[in-house]
Amino acid sequence: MRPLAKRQFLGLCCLVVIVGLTVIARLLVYRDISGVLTWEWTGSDAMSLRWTAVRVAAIAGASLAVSGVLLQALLRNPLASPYILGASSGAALAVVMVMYLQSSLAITWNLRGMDTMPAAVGAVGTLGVVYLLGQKRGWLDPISLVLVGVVVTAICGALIMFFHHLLPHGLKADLVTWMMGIIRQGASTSELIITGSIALIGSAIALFFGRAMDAATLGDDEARSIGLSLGPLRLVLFVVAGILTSAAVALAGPIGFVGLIAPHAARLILGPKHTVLVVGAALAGIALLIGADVASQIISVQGGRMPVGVFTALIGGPAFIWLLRSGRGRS
Amino acid sequence: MTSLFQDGMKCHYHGYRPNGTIYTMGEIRLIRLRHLWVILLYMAVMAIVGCRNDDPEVVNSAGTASQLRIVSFSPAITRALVDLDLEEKIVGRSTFCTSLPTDIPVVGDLLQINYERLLELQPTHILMQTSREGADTRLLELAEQKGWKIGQWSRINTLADIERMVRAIPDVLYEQESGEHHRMSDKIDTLWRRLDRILHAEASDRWQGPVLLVHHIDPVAVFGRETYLSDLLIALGASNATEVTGWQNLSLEDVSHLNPPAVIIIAETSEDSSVDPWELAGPLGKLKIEAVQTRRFAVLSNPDAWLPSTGVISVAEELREILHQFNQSTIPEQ
Amino acid sequence: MSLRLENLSHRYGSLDTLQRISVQAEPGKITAVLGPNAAGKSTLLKCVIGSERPVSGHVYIQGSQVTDLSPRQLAQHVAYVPQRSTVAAAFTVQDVVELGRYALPRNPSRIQNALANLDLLELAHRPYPALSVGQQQRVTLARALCQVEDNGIMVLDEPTSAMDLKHMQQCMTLLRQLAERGITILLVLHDISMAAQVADAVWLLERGTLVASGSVAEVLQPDRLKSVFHVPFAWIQETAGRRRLVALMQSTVNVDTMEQP
Repeated sequence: MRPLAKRQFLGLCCLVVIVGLTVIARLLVYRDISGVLTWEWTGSDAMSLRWTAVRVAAIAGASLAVSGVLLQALLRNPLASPYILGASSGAALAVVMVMYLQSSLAITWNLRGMDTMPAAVGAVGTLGVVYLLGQKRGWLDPISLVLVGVVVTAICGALIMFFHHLLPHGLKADLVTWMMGIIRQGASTSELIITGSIALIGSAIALFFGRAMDAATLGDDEARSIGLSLGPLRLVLFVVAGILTSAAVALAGPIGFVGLIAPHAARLILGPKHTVLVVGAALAGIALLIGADVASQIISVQGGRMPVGVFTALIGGPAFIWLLRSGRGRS
Repeated sequence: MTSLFQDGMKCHYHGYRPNGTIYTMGEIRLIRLRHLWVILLYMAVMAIVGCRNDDPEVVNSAGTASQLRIVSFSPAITRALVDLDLEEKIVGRSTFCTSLPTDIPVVGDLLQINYERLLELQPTHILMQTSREGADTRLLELAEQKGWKIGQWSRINTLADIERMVRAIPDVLYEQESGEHHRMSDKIDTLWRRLDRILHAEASDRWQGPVLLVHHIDPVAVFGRETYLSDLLIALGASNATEVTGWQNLSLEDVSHLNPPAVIIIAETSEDSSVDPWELAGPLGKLKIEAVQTRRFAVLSNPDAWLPSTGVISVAEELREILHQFNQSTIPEQ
Repeated sequence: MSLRLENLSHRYGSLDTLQRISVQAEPGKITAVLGPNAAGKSTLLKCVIGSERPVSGHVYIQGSQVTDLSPRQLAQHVAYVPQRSTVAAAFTVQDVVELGRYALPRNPSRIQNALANLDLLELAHRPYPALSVGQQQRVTLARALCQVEDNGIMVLDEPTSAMDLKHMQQCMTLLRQLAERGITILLVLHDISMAAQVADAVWLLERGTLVASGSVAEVLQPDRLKSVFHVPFAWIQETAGRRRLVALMQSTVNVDTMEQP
């Protein structure tokens, strides 16, 4: 690994500090239903719930951010995000179908609150379909991938509406809640271990291919001429990004904008080299998602809790528009 | 059939005397007569089959009871109609009206009305729930034109809303002083008396403390105040553990903070009430709250719990049962 | 390192882009690949660097078939300068040049040398997308320079099309120096005059077939050039035994008949 430039080192330190601050904020801040804001180290029950929330947000945020970096390199498009390939709609479709099956077969709903398995299966399955259809001459082709992803997302969307229509009333509300993303305070240890491992391994693989991703920013022929095997690289990027996205969606539902904004934020601070970018984006994603969760702790509407996806959209939406207009979005 | 007609035509051409009587030669006439019975029988069958749904008269105003043709766009209203023995009068329903057999056609729902089908069904009354802006103007115009009577209700959230909705049904369907109106009002009174009995029987033997009504675990989705289940709870003598109004999401930490002494999980699907509440409760069952420590956790798995309609009467019974059980189990967990 | 094409044929869909081309490029020499548009020049280069697979025939580099080599192995022998380069990230000039060493061991002095040779030292930390096209072409060339080894092959597809004259001259001088170090250079040029100046050997292509190959004098004969390019050429005597090939482009055309006087 090459030595880090001073700017990059400082940038990483900065990000680490920001992550630390958000973690501390999440552990200390609480606004209860009657509106009283507390800022204190409290009893163990609440603290373990908050700590679980921190870990969920960290794992989901890092997974989405790294997945975003990989996809932006794969598709050679800085506006690519983890959901462009249909993973989140596939997950949502699987979740709604399982809800429907359970309700129509009158099976005891003992997966309440645990949409993990169907979401994971749905995301991976959809990505498999996109993989099969997005090839050109046997290798993945960026343009085909995007087109197939868009079509698959649209089809999934229609099917989701169909099944949502058929759900009984309570489950309808549950689905809508899930689709806006939830940082669950009750996630089990096994869920955290599995998704955490996936996030770590995926990030490590992304780091390993950092230089290859740099080389992939050149045109197809030129990249090949400097020694890059573009076909296998694209496959690796696709699979790793897909698994990371699936893990994040399974854990926290489809939370938008993190996978798009975190890589860009990291690029602003650390520059475009992918090795450093993977680490930086992961940190930025963690900070972004924990920060959004802190916001959902502080801001409550009519006494209830807003889903975290609302806050990532509130931050991410304007940021996305700024990106487009500032020309950074143009490759 | 072709040959039959050909025969007939042939006969017609050859066999009619100027005075209209038929003549034919021997056996051809016999065959024709036999076939004529087939035709007549066929026509009779068609008439019966085709006319099954036809009501020759269309009622233009409330009051001519035997010709009621009701379209309901709201599952809650449909359910009330069924419980008031008006099921046969329903000719059209919304997609979500699952209280009815599926052969009753769907005419859309609150967001999208299938006007063609609506017109085909020739309703007399249309019952629906609408938002603050009221019914779709197109529907109102059509109703004006065709003489349909429209009954509209806005939100049906509380128990009082439900009662109001049900009591208004006879006003929409019948003339104020008519016999049918009286009969229906009586039925409604009977239903509500039944509810009263349930709510007030053996009051002292029930849990009368706060209860958290939960329908999703993480985040914790609750039935807050001013919802019909909460109203039932309060009418049964207990209280709602949370102060939020309406349907809200809370975090597990919020529940921990709230420390409710009892929790009821409103299950969605199964009518099998032998569901283990702890399995369903998941992370909620691991919090250090009074409800967990005293094991006051129960599952209400009545599908009527989700319909703000006359079905809540049976839900009230189950709720009462649960509160009764809560009163028994004040043994702290070891 | 020797470069040999044997019966190389390539097809794109139903179109025959290259037809049975057999020819050899000498190490230490600049071979110009010339021809009108759609002659197959770029396709030929892409077959040499392994980007395109021929439908029949082979490309041999020092005896090994190009199709048998992995991209990494190939990169150690062949450097490629494409007609148009894209970089989908805001890398600096230095970052891009460094990419030339992707398949090779780190060598910071090579990078500095390459930047110096192409007059890029001042631009080294500017972002690549902010440069002009001509400057970007120099960066691509520097990248290839960084990559190529002394006994290697450099394949260039119109490397100077957007450069200004000074840098064009610099580039040609640089190629000559590389050739003297033993590098085999395969160069596609549009400018026949320049090719005649700088090349040692010429491959003349027309619609996928090799019309002629050999030294400049053998191949670039005016009547042959006229039949391939449909423009008259002439060798003009300069001082001291040097000749310059010039295309005799007419500036006036009879509009009614489209004839040249």
